[in-house]
Amino acid sequence: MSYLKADEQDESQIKKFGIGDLKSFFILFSFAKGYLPKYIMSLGLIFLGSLSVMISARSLGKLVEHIIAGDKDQAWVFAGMVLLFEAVAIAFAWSGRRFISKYSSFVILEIRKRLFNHLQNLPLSYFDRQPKGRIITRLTHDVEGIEDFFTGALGKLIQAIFMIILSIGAMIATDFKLGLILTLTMIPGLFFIFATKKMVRNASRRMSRNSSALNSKLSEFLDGMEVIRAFGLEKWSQNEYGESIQEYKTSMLGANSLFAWIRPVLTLLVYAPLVGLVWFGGHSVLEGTLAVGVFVSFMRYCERFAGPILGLAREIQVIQSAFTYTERVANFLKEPGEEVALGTDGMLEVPIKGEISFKNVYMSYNEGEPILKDVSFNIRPGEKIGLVGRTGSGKTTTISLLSRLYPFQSGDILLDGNSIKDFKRSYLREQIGLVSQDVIVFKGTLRDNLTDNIIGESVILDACEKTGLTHMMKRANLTLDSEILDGGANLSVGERQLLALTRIFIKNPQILVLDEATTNIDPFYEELIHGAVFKAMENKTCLIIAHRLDTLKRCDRILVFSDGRLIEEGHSNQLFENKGHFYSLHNAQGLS
Amino acid sequence: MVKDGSFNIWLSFLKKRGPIYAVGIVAVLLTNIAQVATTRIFGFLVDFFSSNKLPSFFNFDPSLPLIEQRHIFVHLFWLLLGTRFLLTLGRFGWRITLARQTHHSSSFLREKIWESVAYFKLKDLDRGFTKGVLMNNSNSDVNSARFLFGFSLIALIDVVFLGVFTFWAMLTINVELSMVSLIVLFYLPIIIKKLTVVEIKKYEDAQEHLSQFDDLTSQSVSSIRLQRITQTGKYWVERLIKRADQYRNKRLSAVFTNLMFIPVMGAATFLSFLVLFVMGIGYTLNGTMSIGDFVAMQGLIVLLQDPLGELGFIISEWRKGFTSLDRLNKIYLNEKDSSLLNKGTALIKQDYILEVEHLGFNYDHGKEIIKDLSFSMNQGDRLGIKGPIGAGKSTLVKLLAGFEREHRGVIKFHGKSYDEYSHIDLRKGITLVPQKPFLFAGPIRQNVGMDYKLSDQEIWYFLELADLKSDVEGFKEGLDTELGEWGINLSGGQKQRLTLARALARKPEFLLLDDCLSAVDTVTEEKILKNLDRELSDSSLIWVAHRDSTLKYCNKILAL
Repeated sequence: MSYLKADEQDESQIKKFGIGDLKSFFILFSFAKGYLPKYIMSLGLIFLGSLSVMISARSLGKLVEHIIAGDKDQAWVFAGMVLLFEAVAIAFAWSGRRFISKYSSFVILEIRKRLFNHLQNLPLSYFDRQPKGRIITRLTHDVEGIEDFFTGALGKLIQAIFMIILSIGAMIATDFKLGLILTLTMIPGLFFIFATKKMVRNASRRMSRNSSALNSKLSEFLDGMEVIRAFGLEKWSQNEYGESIQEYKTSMLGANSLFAWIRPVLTLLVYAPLVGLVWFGGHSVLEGTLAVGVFVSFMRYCERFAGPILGLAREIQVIQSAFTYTERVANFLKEPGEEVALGTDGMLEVPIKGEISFKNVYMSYNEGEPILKDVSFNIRPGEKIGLVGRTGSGKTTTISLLSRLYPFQSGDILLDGNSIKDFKRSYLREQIGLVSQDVIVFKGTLRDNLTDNIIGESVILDACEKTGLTHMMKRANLTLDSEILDGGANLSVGERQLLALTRIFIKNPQILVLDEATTNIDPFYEELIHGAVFKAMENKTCLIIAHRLDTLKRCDRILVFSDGRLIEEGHSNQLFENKGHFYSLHNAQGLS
Repeated sequence: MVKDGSFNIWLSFLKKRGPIYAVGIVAVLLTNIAQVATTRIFGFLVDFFSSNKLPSFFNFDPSLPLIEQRHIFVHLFWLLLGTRFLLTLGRFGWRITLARQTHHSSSFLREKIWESVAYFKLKDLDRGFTKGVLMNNSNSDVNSARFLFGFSLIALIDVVFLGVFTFWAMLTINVELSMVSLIVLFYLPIIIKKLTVVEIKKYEDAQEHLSQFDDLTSQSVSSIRLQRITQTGKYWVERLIKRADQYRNKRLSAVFTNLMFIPVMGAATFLSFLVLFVMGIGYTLNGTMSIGDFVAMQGLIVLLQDPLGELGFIISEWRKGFTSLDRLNKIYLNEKDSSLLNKGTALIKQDYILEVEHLGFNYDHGKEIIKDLSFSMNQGDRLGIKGPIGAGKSTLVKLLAGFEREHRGVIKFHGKSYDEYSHIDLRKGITLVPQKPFLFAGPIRQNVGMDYKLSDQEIWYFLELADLKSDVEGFKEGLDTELGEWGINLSGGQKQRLTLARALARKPEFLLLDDCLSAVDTVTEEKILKNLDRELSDSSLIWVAHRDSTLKYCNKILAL
């Protein structure tokens, strides 16, 4: 959970950039823009509800006055008023709160849509820079914090504000002086909420941090159970876990001590107007300047706003964290998209033959650390090319540049004679099919996993036939409609890889890239897959990256990379005889 | 509902902390008395203001002008103020004593989980007690069970006493009105209990959808590169939004259920006013009840709603709490792996480090994976095991390392079966490096040493053996570089090499390497193999690999 810590450091950074509470409040509401009229209607309902509560409280005072006066008929009229307005208040408050929750849920969906679309538009370099966990936090945890505010706290906040304003208004209208005095007695309570805000926030933050630390520790130990067994670390793990629990407990008890005095004191202060009413109002009654009935009404007013203020104090954290989350989400949405990193998108969308040439390409992810240095080569349409070299030698970067995932600093890359910068990026990428060692398989039918478009059965089956998936399906007793488990749990590594390959073949790309696609596969499947590739990609360009050099024997040519440079080029046998870099790589594998 | 086992856990925890619980209960009582007293004082005030009778100890003469008896008003005021402070004190009291036990018990329950799970049989972790189940237990079950020791207990005491006090105070004012109010309000606990059950279910359902959605989101972030290259991003966005909308619906439904409490509680206020007016106005007008009593009664009925409403929550909370505690208790009571607790006899070195005779193995009812296998190893031997996927290489390694003991035939380590040694002694001598590297969050230093105290020099030596030294030297923080799920991303090969270094740091006499360098490029692998062969000349090694090149230092090869 170290990324949470990093996020907190981020927060202080955000403060430096100067997005304050007020600004994030506006950002929060800019998300809700389209729903403004609907929100106003909901607010109106809640307002009417609070107003009804006030009328009911005033009616109760009148009722008491008439009972004292012995006026039976009037007493019943006001009893009826109390009942009527209580009922109306409930109906308004309930429907208002329901509407707010409903519209808010759509606002949240809107935020999520925006985030997902933005995710698709961010340049890949952003993902290299940011830890994956942090991006995921933005998209899940942070949005959920905003969601808590919108669907829960917002309604309560509005209700509390209305209730406070209206009870102050009602008291001042009924008896100006007493009303004013009682309003003033509210101030210590509100002040207390703001004064303790920070303490409460720090305590809860410590709690949640230690609690997630504790969870990740347990999760880690469960994952690492085999290591714990293998090394006899049972006692060690108990000590480690015990330490985490101790930290967690300390923060929980710290929070307990804090809340133990904050909450009761807050309640005491929030009910201060009630005490003030007795002292000041009581004297007025004694002097005959205030009716007993008004005293009773005031009692009800004071009771009525105490609840919402206490509720607000409990929600203030949700509101505050919503501000923090909003800042983070807003900053994420401000990250520049691909058009900044890669420049304006090209327009070219012409059929591709598959002739690739790199012309003196230099590329670096970070300034001063070039990954590709002056790389030039030509590939004829339909050629099968192997790319070889140690980790970090530049093979994968070469392929990434071809797909326009990263910008390059100088030189040019031509596809059928046109610079790839002139192609429309999405079109270019559609022409290149890539299979890597990571295969994404999700829960659903085999068909769902193979294609997201409505494509004729024959096209799918044809591709399955080509890649040998049909053969595999027969062996594993699967049909296109068989259910595949999440992560492909009911498929073997090789089967998953075949699935990925078939998925690409259905799209019928003009250029195929295999990036270590067969590293985790035993020779039987590897042979099967390569056979399929060479058959299906006849006349189409293929680029194959592999560690195991014997898989590249069938390639027309092999490009050997070392330290960002292309150092050898030729057929496997020829390179072997040259006794260069390829030869030494080959020897290290102990093959003859 | 309450099984002996989990009830005993609860009871013995309470007994151990008896005095503090007693103090807490007194504090709750104090709070309740102060709450009821407040409403009574307001009743007295109104009676005083309208010149009605007050209890005799106030010495109030309704016939005299009020202004002459100002001291009675002042007394009432001080009584009110004193009550408010008492209330504050009472609340502070139970929070610092009883509420605190919630946290103490939560740590206690969590500690016991790992104390037990660390000794589970591995196959139990694959089946009944999977990671998902255990994580759920340690989160939601501990979270709901801990309340039994603190907050739920407070709520129960509070409800009982507040209910009784309030009702008693009402009875002293007017018996009939009190009885009718109680009967009318009795629907509250019943409906609220039902509503709570539905609400919890709906929130759980929403939570389930949320975690699926979160999973999909993290999958989407993880695969962003692939999406970009294959241009499947649009499809992912569609899928994500569809899931987000499903979750939105579920969550909204849960929120709506929660909002149902507004009309339900509102109806209680409405009904109490109805009863109060229909009966109370008549009683007040004909003099059965004073106006102060009427006002006090109004306050008391409002006060009575709380415990009755709470009762519904509390019943479901206690139910949920004990169900969770039962589930936790199942973990505590689950059978431990006896081989881990075995005292065992000392290890006496023999010529044959390993003797395998007629070894056979299959997982329950599965097909036979290993059939009648016999071989032996001397000290310093290097045995290579090869064979196609599914031939049982990893299973054999598990058997030879002594992790799986339910096999046919005999495996002897220094002349004795694994069952005759203690777990700790065995693990000092035998180390397995698995196929999939696993590292713990924490600095590299700790990941090499684990529970051993190693000097920096030693750590660097082991890193060098695994050819990771130059990599670590390249990190800004060197040995202190923090690793973690989300921290610095080591490459697959670096992870494998660090895992290897960690195993070497234990100076194993018998080392099993289960295809543990698959992600390391061939030049580096060659270097490492040479290092191992040279530096571990006294140790016996078993190498499993599907690249033949890996096995070139072996003096025996076993093909499965």
